[in-house]
Amino acid sequence: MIAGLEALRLWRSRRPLVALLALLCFLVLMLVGFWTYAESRTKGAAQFEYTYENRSYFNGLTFALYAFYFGFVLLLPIFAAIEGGAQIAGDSGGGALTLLLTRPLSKTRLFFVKAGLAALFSLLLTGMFLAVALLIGLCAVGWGPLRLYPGVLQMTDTPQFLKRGEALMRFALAWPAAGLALLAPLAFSLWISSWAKSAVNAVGTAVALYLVLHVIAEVHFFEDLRPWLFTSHTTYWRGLFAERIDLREMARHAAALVGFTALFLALAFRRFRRREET
Amino acid sequence: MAGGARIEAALWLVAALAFAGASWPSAPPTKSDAKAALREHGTLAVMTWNVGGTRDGRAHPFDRTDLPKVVQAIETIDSDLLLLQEFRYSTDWAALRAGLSDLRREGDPWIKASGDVAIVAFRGELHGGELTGNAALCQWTVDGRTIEVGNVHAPAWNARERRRAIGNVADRLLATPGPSRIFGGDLNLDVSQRSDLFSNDPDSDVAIYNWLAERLTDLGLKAGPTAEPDRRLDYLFASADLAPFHALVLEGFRGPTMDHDPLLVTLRFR
Repeated sequence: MIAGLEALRLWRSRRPLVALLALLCFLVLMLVGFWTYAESRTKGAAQFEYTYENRSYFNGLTFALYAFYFGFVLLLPIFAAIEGGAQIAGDSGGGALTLLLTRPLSKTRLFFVKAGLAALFSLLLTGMFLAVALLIGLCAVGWGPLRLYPGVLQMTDTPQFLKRGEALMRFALAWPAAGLALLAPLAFSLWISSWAKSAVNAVGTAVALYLVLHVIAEVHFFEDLRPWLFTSHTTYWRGLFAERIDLREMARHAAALVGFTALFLALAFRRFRRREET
Repeated sequence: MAGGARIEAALWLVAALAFAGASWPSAPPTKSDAKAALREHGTLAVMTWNVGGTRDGRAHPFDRTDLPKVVQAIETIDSDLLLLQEFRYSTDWAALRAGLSDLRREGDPWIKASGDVAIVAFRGELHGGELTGNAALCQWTVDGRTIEVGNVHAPAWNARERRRAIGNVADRLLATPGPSRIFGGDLNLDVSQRSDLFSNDPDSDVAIYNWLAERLTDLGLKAGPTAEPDRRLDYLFASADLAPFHALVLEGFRGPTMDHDPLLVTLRFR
């Protein structure tokens, strides 16, 4: 009952629609960006195949992977943080949380319904983003094998080659792996939200702190600090696109993300149980 | 304990277990592993080292004040093949050879040198060779097998010249008939480009690195940076018939004015 009600409230909030439209806009701009890049590099004869690593490797799978990577790093965690930030503080500000708790409903159940719904939303958003990126890649760029080269994106440290079928299987595996990675920023924003009285404050703080942690994690000099930040682990799913997956390394990052998620959830739940609604 | 408290306790427990799992120690190769590997039968130890440095912010080739540290390093590490950069045969070799007392007892090392690079073999023999500019190519016969070896010191400040220098040596090395090849030196490529604005054309650097990495195995891939602040400028590549055993950037061997650490790789024939 409460789960259905919360799902309906989420849908009516239009946050899912806004997130989907923003991601679609992002993919279209990525496509235009790659097209103009190819055009400038080929002196007018626009071909998506031209990049500096290799003149013939860029195709729809590469487009989907690059688009998903950029979207995952810069957009999906923001939407997850927005969702987490809005779930508790959003209800608290308008008095909806007080109303909900006048019903025979435990705080524990309410908290985990909200957390579960936000996690499901993040997972579905990730899956849809990946699927649409692949679809656009197929229709606009065309498919082939997936070739990756070392470079600025740090997508791989050795040249990789995956046949199309194998690459699609890796994309399928990347969905749950990336979904797991999004749980940490989501739980982090839930924790922030459990302290805030207004959704704007909660979302703003969660997004700002996520960006701070993300930037710090990207600074390569801070190698001693990086393992302590959840943002250092979130792009671990890139390891799925190696010819030979380093399962041990993947498991270490996944375990760290589970640890951060459980830690933030425990902190959020502890605060939620103790806070007084007025 | 109430239901909420039990769930919270469970979350803390999951967090603790997950963090414990994430910090489970892996076993990266250590210096002692590499030293042990050097002594293993059938392994070849190859080292590349830019022995130049900087003083008062100015780059300089090999400096005699660094000689004791370089001699100590060569005798301690005891590699079979050494690729040197910023090292001039005409002015530096006699002093270095005089210092290498222990190794000289087993016969003088072989050397092929050109410009500011040198290929030195402490085991086996060097023969043939194309020596142009800061690049050297020759054959190294060791344990009854012949390996084509290339050593280059690529220009630091111009990506186009760097690409040309690397490409010239690599092209000739890859055109040789023998299956076994080792290519290395100070390529001045920093593909990760995480540190600074080192290159005037990062795309060109990425391209030449990937061209090489598609044809030869990058042996020092996981060994770490060789120059400050965290740049991997020194490389050793090998053909597929040479299996890498260990790769290490050896810290603590630099002389007072030097700015590169040596990269040591142990290999064995497949």
